[in-house]
Amino acid sequence: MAGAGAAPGTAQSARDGRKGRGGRDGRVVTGIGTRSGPWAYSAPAILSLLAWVYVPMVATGVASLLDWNLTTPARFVGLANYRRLLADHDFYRALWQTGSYVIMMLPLATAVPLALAIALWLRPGRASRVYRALLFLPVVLAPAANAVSWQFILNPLQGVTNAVLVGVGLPGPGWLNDPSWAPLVIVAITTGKIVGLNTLLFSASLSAIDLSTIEVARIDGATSWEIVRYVVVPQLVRPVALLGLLCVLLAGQWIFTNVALVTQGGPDGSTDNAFYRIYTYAFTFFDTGTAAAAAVVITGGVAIGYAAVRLVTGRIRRAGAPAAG
Amino acid sequence: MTNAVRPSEPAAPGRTLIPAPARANPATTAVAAVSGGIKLRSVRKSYGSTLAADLPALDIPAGSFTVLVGPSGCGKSTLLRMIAGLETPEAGQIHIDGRDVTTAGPGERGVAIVFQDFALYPHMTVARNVGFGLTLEAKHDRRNGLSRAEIQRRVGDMCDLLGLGDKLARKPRELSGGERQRVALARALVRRKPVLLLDEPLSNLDAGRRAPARAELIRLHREVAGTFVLVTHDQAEALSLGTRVVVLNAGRLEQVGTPEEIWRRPANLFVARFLGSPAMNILPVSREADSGDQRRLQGWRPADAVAVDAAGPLPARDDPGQVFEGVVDVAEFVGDRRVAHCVNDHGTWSVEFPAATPVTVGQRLRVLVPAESLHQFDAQTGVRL
Repeated sequence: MAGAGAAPGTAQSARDGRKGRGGRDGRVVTGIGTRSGPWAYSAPAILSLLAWVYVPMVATGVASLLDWNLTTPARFVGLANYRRLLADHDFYRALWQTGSYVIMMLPLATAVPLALAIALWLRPGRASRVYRALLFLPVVLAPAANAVSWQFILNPLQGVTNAVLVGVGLPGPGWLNDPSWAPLVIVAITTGKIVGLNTLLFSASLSAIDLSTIEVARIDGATSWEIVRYVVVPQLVRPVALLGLLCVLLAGQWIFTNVALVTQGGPDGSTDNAFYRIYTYAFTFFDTGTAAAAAVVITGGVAIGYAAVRLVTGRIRRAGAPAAG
Repeated sequence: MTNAVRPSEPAAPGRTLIPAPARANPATTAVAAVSGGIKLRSVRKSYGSTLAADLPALDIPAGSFTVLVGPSGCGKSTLLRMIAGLETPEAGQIHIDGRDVTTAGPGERGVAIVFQDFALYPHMTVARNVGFGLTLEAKHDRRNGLSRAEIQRRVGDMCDLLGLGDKLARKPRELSGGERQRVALARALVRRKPVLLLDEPLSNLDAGRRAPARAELIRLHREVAGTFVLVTHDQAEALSLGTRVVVLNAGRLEQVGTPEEIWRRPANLFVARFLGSPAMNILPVSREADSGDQRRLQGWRPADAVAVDAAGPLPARDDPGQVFEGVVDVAEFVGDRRVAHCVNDHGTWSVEFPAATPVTVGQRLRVLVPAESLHQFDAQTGVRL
């Protein structure tokens, strides 16, 4: 359950931190602890969080109220940036496309790696280790090199893909130059990494399953499919939910690198998404205020989305507990 | 002398596993005619160069409570797993109720299993754990399978029988070790298979729970009229549970028999040493009467000896038996008994006597072993003479 452990783990340490501060069970032995409480220990984490997360967040909030191109002095403009942003069709298109990226990537981040992990787990041996390594290989490729390679491979005129397709008499699509193909190519390049990583995470979760439950199921007369369906998959609900949630929240960010390196949002804005849009406002148009406003809107939207997911899954869990009996 | 290793079973405190029923319980009147006879013929299995099983012939009679016992690595679990269909023998046949199941899948052999770690499905409630096999059966065979209501009734009856009636909606993690064991038993028994396989089912229980659970297993076997095959490394557990005991060592059969038989007449040195705590004393004996240089080993159980005064005369008897002398090296106090470990020129030996008898380290000790309590073994082959 390595995958599932991450989120509860942080929650746990937060709880422990509070408990320690209350001093209920805090038998602090070192002098440093008695004099300054938990602050000395948590200072490095708090300072770096302040420097890299909270201060920039506040700065972004402030910048969203300014008219500023990074060079000339900033001017306070109130909510003008938000008004401009919410009237910009490109922004809406970017949001919409971010949603469709998430929808396309959700099965590729959950169902596909789950199926791969289970298939490799059912047939352990040298071959399965080789496959797992091959699946994981894209994860460690440098993103920039990976992206540029794909540009070469998929080049409509000189690329190897179309050379093969035309060679066997099929039409060679424009790939990254074709607005209907380009988003799919971006999803494919991005999920090459996600599938490998998530297969590894699911494999770790699978190794935590008690193998004798599988043997009991076989003696109970279960077929291989029934073992997967009724014994294995239900024990992986938590990591699947976690990785699904991560995909919903982060798919846009996973995609960003490839959009920036391969298509720059094109052709015709077809591969644009919310995070690349912020980048465009900030570093193509040097409109820092609008970029900051977009960041605030998107962060707010993600926060609301996350809260909604937590609410729904929490309700399912509460409703599911007694109903399962 | 068997009393020494058959501790009287204390009444289970609180709820027992099987409340003695006044009427035949519908959940357990499973197999009308006792079935579940298992025959193994020339079964062989090895892992690399390690021999796990090499059994010319082994019969497990229908309706018996057969215990496979031996030190760890003796192949007893492999044997159980081959009967279950979880391992395939390299050679030989396995028959259950006259049917050759050597190549049959684990689900098609008419067996159910309880594992050491209980192997409950962690995401299912007690009721679903117990009913899972029946639900699958119903799914696979819609015509002859049980109805949902019937499954629910059987699961309910079985859980009531095992004292789990109020735990049906619990998940395994919310149960105690003893409760988990009973869920595993209920899950295995509810399918009414002729053979129940038990792989060290008691070793994950607290020491205090083990003795009552032992008695409960014996009672359960009496009630369900099937064949129980249990694996354990604990010789005391084997003697107390089994109607038949199979002693295994290094993949081979050492002895098969009733607990009394293997206790009274161990077939060889391995069985003699394996059973009993403290273990049987084995000392070399050179008898003048023997022709040539043939050497024998003589064995006797520490509890079978009668301590005699070091200086005094031997009690008058028709057959005086054998006298052993030695110096006490270690003296143990074990409640109602004392155990003295002694040394002499031939080796070490132990003797057990009532705790009231004082014994001190360094003391000379003389014991008389009645002739009928002496076991003779061939020093070369280890076989009983």
